[in-house]
Amino acid sequence: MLIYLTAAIHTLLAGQKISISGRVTDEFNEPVIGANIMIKDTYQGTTTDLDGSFILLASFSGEKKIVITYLGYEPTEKLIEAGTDSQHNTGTIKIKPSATQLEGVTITAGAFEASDEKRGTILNPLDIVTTGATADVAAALNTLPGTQKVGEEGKLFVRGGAAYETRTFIDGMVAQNPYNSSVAGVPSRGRYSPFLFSGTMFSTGGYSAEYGQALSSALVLNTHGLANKTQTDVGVTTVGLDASHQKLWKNTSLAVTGNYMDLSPYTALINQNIDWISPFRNYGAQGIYRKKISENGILKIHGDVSSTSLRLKYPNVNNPAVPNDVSMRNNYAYLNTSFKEIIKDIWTLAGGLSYNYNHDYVKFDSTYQRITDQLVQARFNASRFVGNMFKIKTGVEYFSQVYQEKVDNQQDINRNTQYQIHNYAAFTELDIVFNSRLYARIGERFEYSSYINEPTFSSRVSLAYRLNSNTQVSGSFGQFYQLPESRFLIYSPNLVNENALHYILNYQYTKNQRIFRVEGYYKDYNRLTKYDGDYRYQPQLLNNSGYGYAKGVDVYFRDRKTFKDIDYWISYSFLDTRRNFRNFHQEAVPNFASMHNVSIVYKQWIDQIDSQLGVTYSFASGRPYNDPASEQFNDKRTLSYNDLSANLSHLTELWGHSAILFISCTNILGFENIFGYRFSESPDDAGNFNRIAIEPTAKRFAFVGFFVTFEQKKNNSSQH
Amino acid sequence: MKKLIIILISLSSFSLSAQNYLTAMSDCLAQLEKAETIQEYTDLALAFERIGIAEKTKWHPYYYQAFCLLVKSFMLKDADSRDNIIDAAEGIIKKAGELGGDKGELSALQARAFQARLSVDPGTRAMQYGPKTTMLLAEARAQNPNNPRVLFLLGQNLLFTPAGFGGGKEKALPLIEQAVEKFNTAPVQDPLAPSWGREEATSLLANAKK
Repeated sequence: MLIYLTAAIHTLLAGQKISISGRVTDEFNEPVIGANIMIKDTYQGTTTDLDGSFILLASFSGEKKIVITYLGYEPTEKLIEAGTDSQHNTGTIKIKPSATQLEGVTITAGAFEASDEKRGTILNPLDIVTTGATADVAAALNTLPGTQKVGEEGKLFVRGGAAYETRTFIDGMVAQNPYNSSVAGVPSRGRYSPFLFSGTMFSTGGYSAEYGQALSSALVLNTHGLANKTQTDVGVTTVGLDASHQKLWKNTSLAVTGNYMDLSPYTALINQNIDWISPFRNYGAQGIYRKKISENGILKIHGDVSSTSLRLKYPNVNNPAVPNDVSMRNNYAYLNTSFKEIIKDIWTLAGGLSYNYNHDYVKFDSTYQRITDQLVQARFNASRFVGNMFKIKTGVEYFSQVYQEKVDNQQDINRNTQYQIHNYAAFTELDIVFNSRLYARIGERFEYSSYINEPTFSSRVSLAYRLNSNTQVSGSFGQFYQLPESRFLIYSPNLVNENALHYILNYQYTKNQRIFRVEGYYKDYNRLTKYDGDYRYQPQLLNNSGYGYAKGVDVYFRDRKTFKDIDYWISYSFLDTRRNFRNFHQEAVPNFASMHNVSIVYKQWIDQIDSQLGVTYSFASGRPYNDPASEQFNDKRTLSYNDLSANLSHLTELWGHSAILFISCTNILGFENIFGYRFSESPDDAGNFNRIAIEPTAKRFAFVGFFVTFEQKKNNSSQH
Repeated sequence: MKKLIIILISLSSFSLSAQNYLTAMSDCLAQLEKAETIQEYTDLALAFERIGIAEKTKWHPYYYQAFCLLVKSFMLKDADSRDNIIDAAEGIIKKAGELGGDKGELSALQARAFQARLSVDPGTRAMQYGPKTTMLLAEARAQNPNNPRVLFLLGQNLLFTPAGFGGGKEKALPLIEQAVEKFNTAPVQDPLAPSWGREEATSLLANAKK
């Protein structure tokens, strides 16, 4: 009896050795190598081989499940019946990708992402500082394909679009005035320091339904989260001073910054193409508050005020002996409050409130113009996964803009006009993961604008197919609407939203810190704002009969791997575009469009001297300008644009504190660059039109800055 | 009779499983001591995972699974594969935390994950992951000032951070010395408790003192 009992227990516990064999594949019947195979609730297990096959010798009796786990896939169970046979074959078992794997899905068409967190990104935040020579967000993005160099503006021009067609978002909120105000001939700079941002998504087309009011491009900038230490920064440069202090508490951080920029010492020293009376001067202050509101939630408040002024003698093409006296003053304020929260690992909620204030006072001889632009925006988004296949994102947005323009020439013109617009928007976007290779994003955006009383619906669709883990082919189609520029809208409520359609095809290959991508696109513009001659302020002469197209190919190659400590990229953009808009009287290539743009960026870390060297070469083929003597409109081309810029960041110390010495210079080789020409209104006696070349403000811009970081002496919380 | 059988079975299976767990873990840990190749670390990670899944409530298997994956991540060359494996390791560390794992030890392991992340692309990530690692370890140290792995990693991190950025030899050395001392005097305890880092710390200290 006892023997029988022991035997029974033994059999029950250990069972008999049986062999289980099978094969594991992914959803495409490709073998899964290295999957973990185990008998449920036991330690017995094995691994799949190169063929995805496994053989497992195990002892148990009755029914048991085997469990299959593999990185990035859902754990899968399969029932095994240890019958009389000592051999069991499970056949082929297919495993499915897990939701976390799907979360990493990005559709590359149209998008350039820069972030610390994500992989295979095109640019990282540091790149923005170490590209070109001006540490400017727009200038750095201008080395990416799909952008055109327009030196006299200093703004982003994307795929044949004008500067206003790119809209900037900070933490999801609109930044209505992302550039410093300026006057004709003096390029703008971005208002925001590249050091503010930990992530950038620069879309050159086909972007998400989450973003509206942009015909060509969305630039989505995400600021840093909670500061990671308490420190004080002081910077002394050839053009000014800045200082900031940042304090970190347990779950809160606050940073305050003040800066002063004055170009007068610099312009006195370096030969200028501009006859300054009072060069660019700027006072600014910022406050950045961060609060960790929960494990995954953060509240961000960012405030910014600044005041800018400049005055110069503007060459008068009609009467060269008497230059125009042009001055500009700008006051600016921006408050951006946003939050993000993840609830129970399911819902992601985000939203915010922002206020934009911009006041420009421009005086041109005796005529002055004051423009006040105010915009308040509120926004709320929610997103979640639904099962393994879907991710849904939906949101609402409202903004109200008040725009005032006063013009007075102290003679016959004295206008004082303003408009207010309420804009309501809602969007829904669905990400569908058909399998780990094929994904789609379908979005619909609705907007209603009060002042012009127009509802718009825009549909956006993207599809991506992963050929293998390194290669993605994607395509995108989208409808985009944008209100006419405020300077037109103010004079006519009879205008409608301008419209663009994007068609994009993208191929991207990423492997081990090398990226190669080619993107072809076609853009169809409709309802662009047109007006007759110079009379944009006559409502009856403003209409939406403008149209145009842009098509081209963008190529990008970046390699951070082949050479040690060396990182380089090459961008090439081909652009073919024509449009009939603004005061054009026929279809023509707009003057901001150049057919070929090339950027070569080279960076090297030089260990011996603790320095990073960055060299950027830029080329743009000639841009159109209109010679009134020519019978054709806009048919002349400038010479091509060339620039070689370099920067060096040297890490050093000052009194035991870390410091950076930054030196940069544009146009080292001294190319003569001309962006276009201005012509006199009427010909002289010989029948020739006088012309003045539009040039850079100086042949070169050289910059030296010394930045020191003072950290709290370590005697802090790490001591117990 | 039937009752007796059931009691007997459940009794023996209980003791057997407790016994099994210790044996299986000790077995794997012995192999971990000797492991050198990517294949060995891969196999061990899978073995620990099997134990973890079978046991359901034990954190040690997950701890060691993540540990093996992180070691493996340092041995791989391809940046994307490294990041993917660190992703997985971080998920597993989190799981071990949910199962009530030792906070200090898990922080130390998470710091290792940050270091791994940093080493994939130091040029880009040093600015972010350097301070992140220091912060995490300083917190862990405040909770348990006696964990030699926390002290060692904190010292190591400061040693490779420039003095101007809050690091430097001066700050690092006392920590590493303290770590080595704690490694040498640590009482013999739970056979499953993490014990790695002693050799690394000792050789780092020797090198740093040169």
